Amino acid sequence: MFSSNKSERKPSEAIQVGKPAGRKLNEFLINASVFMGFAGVLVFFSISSSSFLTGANITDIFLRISITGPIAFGIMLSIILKGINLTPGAVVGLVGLTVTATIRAGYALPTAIFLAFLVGAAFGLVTAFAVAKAKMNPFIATVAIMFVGDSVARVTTQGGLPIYIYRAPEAFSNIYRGSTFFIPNPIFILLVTVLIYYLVLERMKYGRRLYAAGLSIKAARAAGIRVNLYYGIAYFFATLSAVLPGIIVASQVRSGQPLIGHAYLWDGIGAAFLSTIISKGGRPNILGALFGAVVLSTVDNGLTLIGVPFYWKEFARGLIILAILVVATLKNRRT
Amino acid sequence: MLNIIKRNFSTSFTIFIFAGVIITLAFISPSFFDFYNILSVLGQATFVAIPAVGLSMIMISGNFNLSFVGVIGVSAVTVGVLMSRGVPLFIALLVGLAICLAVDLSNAFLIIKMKIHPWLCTLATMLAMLGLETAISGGYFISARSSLFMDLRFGSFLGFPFAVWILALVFLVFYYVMHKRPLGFHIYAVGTNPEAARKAGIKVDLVKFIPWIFMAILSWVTSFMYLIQLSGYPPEAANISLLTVILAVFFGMAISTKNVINVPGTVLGAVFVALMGNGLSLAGVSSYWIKLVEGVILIAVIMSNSLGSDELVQL
Repeated sequence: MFSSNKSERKPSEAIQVGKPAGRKLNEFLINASVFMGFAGVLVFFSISSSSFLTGANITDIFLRISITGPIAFGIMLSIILKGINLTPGAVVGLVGLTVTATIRAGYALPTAIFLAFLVGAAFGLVTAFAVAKAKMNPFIATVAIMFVGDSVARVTTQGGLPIYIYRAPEAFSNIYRGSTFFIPNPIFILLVTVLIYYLVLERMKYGRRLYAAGLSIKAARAAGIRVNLYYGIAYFFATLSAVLPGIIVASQVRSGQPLIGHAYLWDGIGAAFLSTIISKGGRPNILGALFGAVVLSTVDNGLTLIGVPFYWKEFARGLIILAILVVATLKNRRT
Repeated sequence: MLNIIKRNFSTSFTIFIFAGVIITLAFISPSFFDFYNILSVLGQATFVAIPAVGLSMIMISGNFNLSFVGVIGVSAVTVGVLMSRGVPLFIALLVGLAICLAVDLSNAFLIIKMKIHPWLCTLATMLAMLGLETAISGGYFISARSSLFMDLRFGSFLGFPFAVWILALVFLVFYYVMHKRPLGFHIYAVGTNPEAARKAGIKVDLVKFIPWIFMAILSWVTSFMYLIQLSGYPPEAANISLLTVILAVFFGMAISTKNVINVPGTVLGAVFVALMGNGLSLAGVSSYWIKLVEGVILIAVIMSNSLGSDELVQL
């Protein structure tokens, strides 16, 4: 490896960067500190709040994960392509408004859910067009689309008045409160979502092509991958993934809250970046994002239990995301 | 003629929007071109133009900033709360400046030294600062009463109110710094090609730091302007105009023929957005619709800017 004669170098050594043993140790230390930190958080909350480690509260945490999780998975898709997607912040609220307004107008639940997916798909198409066809910077494009979505929510609700459903149909209420096979419905939906993401991203050729397109656009194109199409599809689903959480939130609060999505968006971003910390070589992956959603939802739940007001939670969320970004950047620069 | 339009698509497109909106608004509301109305529009434009000038400097140096909306808020509510506790105005303002400098310098450190992505880093600090602002203000309107504020708000010099003078001063100073001084050219250089700038002997990291100091000062000036014009600070006032500030910068970029961000364009963009908002509200359009129109124009302007590029963008 240290030989000065270039011709004696084996090809396999030529592409090796850094010492593999050091890299492994580094990765192990970072992973260990993330898990230790999470364990510390768990211990802290269970000491400071007696109701933290009860079964009901743990179910509550998982119900929150069923909302932040899919958003994190969608954002992870855009991070795989070295981009970002902020549209879920607006789509969650808009979907809730669509569902509740449709039900209040007297239509059945399936119609409402269909319309909700239509709204999500419309925003997904705009996002995909902006990033993959118009080649806009994904950050500025999705920020602008999020602004537009928020404005649409404000315009349709006279500035942010929630749409309440006074007598919610049983089926609508059951999305959040009912259960399938003894598992609460939202968690069941979450498990199915994780399974689909896992199969597509880790076990099928589409996932490998997506990762390849994210690593190098030119190389992927040379290998015959239709890169622009993959970008479009990934951003479409990144936005569409906010539809299910939107429906679940609407069923939880039995109303359409216009600007409810932002808090979940921040948690989603944090969770998606956490997945790049605890994976090999900074690769965003579905199980890491799920773990990230677990961490951020637990922190949110614990902070609520010990009585931290919402603005300090927002402050803490910002610092946590910043810390995650710092560690992710440092790690991916080193290895 | 057609060729020129094709070559400068985004420029002509944006000027078309500009002219169309202004002409339509002039037809809808006759009081639009009233002298006092124009003055009040310029007064509104200061809230957008001052942070937009700072943001365009940072964007020219190749970075981005979202956190100023939180920084302005924290600075303004801190000054307001300190004044209500009986702290002298001068000291309260100094504390506000210290907050702005502290946050923006730590942003700059994280982005330039630690190489955190500027969008994501300032997104996180924006969130933290907005939380801090609400924590200090409790979500209420923080009032700041002082005879100095009243004098500055209602007084005028040579027929123009104080806000317009501040706008003109900021414009002239930053036009001089960015387009007439070597420092401005250095900032453009590190933004377009840091490697070439380094080879040419420019201290890249140092030059990238400087816009953040200006941004901190401009954020502080903006918070001061809010306190003067509104006698206090409504919750998340600056956050509401985040979209407008970004639109002003991109508008300025779109109307320049070389497609680069520049100070006159940014100020013109801010004035355009203020004119449009004013005209629409004179015509009786609600503020939510105005925000929606601004968002759609932002997407259209950025899209017209990026349509010529032939490669997907990765952060």
